[in-house]
Amino acid sequence: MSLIEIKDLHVSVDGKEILKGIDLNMDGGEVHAIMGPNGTGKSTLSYVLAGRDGYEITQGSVLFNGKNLLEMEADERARAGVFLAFQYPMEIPGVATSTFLKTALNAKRREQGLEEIDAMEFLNLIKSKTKELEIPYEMIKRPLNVGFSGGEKKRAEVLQMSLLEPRFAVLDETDSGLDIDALKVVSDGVNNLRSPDRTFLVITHYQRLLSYIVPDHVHVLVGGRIVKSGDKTLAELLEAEGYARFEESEAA
Amino acid sequence: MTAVKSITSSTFGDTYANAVGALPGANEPWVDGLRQMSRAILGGQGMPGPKVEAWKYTSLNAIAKTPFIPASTVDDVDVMSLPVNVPLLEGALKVVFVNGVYRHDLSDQIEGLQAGTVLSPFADVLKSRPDSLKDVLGTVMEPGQSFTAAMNTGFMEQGAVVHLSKEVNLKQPVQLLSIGASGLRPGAFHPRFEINLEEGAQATVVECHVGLPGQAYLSNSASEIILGGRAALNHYTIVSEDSEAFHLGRTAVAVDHNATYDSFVLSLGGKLVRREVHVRLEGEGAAATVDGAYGLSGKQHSDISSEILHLAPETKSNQIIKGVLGGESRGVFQGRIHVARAAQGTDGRQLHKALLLNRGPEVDCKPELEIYADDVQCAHGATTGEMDQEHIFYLLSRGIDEKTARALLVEGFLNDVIFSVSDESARNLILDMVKAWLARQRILAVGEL
Ligand SMILES: Nc1ncnc2c1ncn2[C@@H]1O[C@H](COP(=O)(O)OP(=O)(O)OP(=O)(O)O)[C@@H](O)[C@H]1O
Ligand SMILES: [Mg+2]
Repeated sequence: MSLIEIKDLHVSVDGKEILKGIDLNMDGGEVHAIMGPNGTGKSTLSYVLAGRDGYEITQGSVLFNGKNLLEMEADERARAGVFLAFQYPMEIPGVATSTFLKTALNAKRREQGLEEIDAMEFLNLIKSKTKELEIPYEMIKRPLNVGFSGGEKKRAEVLQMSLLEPRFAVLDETDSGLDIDALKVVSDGVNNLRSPDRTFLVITHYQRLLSYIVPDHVHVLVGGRIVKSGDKTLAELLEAEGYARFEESEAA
Repeated sequence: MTAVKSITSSTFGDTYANAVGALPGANEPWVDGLRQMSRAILGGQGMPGPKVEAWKYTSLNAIAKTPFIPASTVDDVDVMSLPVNVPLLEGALKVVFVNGVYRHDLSDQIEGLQAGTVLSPFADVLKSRPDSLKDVLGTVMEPGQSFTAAMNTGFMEQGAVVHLSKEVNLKQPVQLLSIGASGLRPGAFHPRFEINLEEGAQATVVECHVGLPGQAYLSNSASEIILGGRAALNHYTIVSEDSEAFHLGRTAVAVDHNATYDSFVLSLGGKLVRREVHVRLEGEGAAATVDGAYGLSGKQHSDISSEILHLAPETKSNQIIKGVLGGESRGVFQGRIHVARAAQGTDGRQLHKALLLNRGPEVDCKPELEIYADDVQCAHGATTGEMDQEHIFYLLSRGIDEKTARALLVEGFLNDVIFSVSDESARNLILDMVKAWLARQRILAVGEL
């Protein structure tokens, strides 16, 4: 049994079918990459996995660790180990990043039957994580994502992920908005989290990210379907040739 | 204009009329004249009804119907020590009033402060050196401009005077703490605060208006503030009256050249709370921050009515007011920004944001811009809405349960503006009070975050 089993997943938004039958199995320790043209449903898939409202699942199923993921509330999924690094992280005025991180961390700890994290321990944890991701420590005193630059927001997402240690992480264009150095730092952050019991689904437009975070499988999502899967060389091919040939076959 | 009732004859009854002759400063003709004039305004106009523009959204009917007695005559309640849950500002000089009466025993030692500093009970000043207030009292807090001001001025008795000489920097904040405590009969009191900072002087003053649980009372306070050139005042007003209480308070400020008035109003409690703020930016380069936050539940009514007058060139004002409304509460924000012809280079910004926790509350927001100068930058905005689903999802997606997520977001909504309170201990006090309020509303369980 795979950690995540997506079977014939059909999803509509406002009566319009966006995902038209996705099949995808991901095992523990694997990194899967999804590439595809704009507007083909990559973020939709990530939101559906994270449990956002407003999507109608018309067909299919998703099992996470053998459980029906689609029946769980978004917060339950997160506590069970699902994490989504947002393509566009929300700005939350008035909520200090540190307060938010601590609340999220404690929610997970409570679920695991652990006590709330001690203030000192939390501080040290944050200090080491921010250092690793080259995030200025001062940033965590600021309201969550408010006024963060595009790249800072993406780093903050990876900081959250590394703090919450999910079992299944979806990274939706975490590389967009990152400069070349930041891309390296963030990729290192992700690579450090790679482990046999953690699975990543990396959505990206660029092969460059995948040269840092080397995927085991690459899937091409066009028109709401996975039209091709392969190994990391598929990403190189796409980079060179674009999606034209898949779009043609999709139209046919 | 509809007169509901004449305040002197009906509302406060004969007890009030009898007490009037004994008010401090009554034998000083100009003080007496000011009171007489104010009471004449009250008597002539009576309580303003809904046809009076300034009172369109806030009804005084409940106050008109309550048979108040002067709170200083309330004799069936004893307050022997500060109530436990009274907000206290760390390190501040406390000046305490119970039912409007100065309580030496509950206050800190206020004599013999640093040179050039006067912090005295208002009644003492009126009695022993009324002349020191002659050019001040009633000059910015004009009784003719507001019913709230007229009622206070007509019956003002006790309060405090803060006067700093040129260039004096009063390091220790002053906390003016007014506690309402009615017995079987509802009392009314009219504390008067006179704050006068001469050129270059600096101070932080925190006003707290609170009450003991019990009967209704009326707290009708007025703060008259005069800031000389380059003076800087932090002025924070916290209203957390008892749920049965009425609060009608007004702050009137004159700000001279390059002086700054940095203020915040937190309004959390009372059956009906109206805070009026009137800021006159009179000197070139004068600046004011007039922020605030309010939280309402049940059938509470809160009104923040603000007038900011840009009267000189290069003046700046900034105003952000945020309110959280639950139950069937009602929030009112009236914000007028006036830019006189002479006030070239004015920068005026105003924003009112209300967050509705359910379908019950109502918000009335009336922004007004009157601009007579041509080189100005003015912007105002207002939003009223429910919590952003996207924000909730973001928090849920990190494993935070929905109740906690909502609590964080409500608190964050208010904290967003509270974070800009410049004095750290005042900011922390306000943050704590908001947290406690959220806990009382069961939006936030105590100790949850
Ligand atoms: N709430 C919505 N209402 C209507 N259409 C929607 C909604 N959300 C998504 N869509 C549509 O669904 C399609 C897929 O969107 P999605 O965001 O999943 O694309 P994507 O593959 O992530 O694109 P990109 O590479 O640009 O991020 C788009 O055509 C989009 O306009
Ligand atoms: Mg997308």
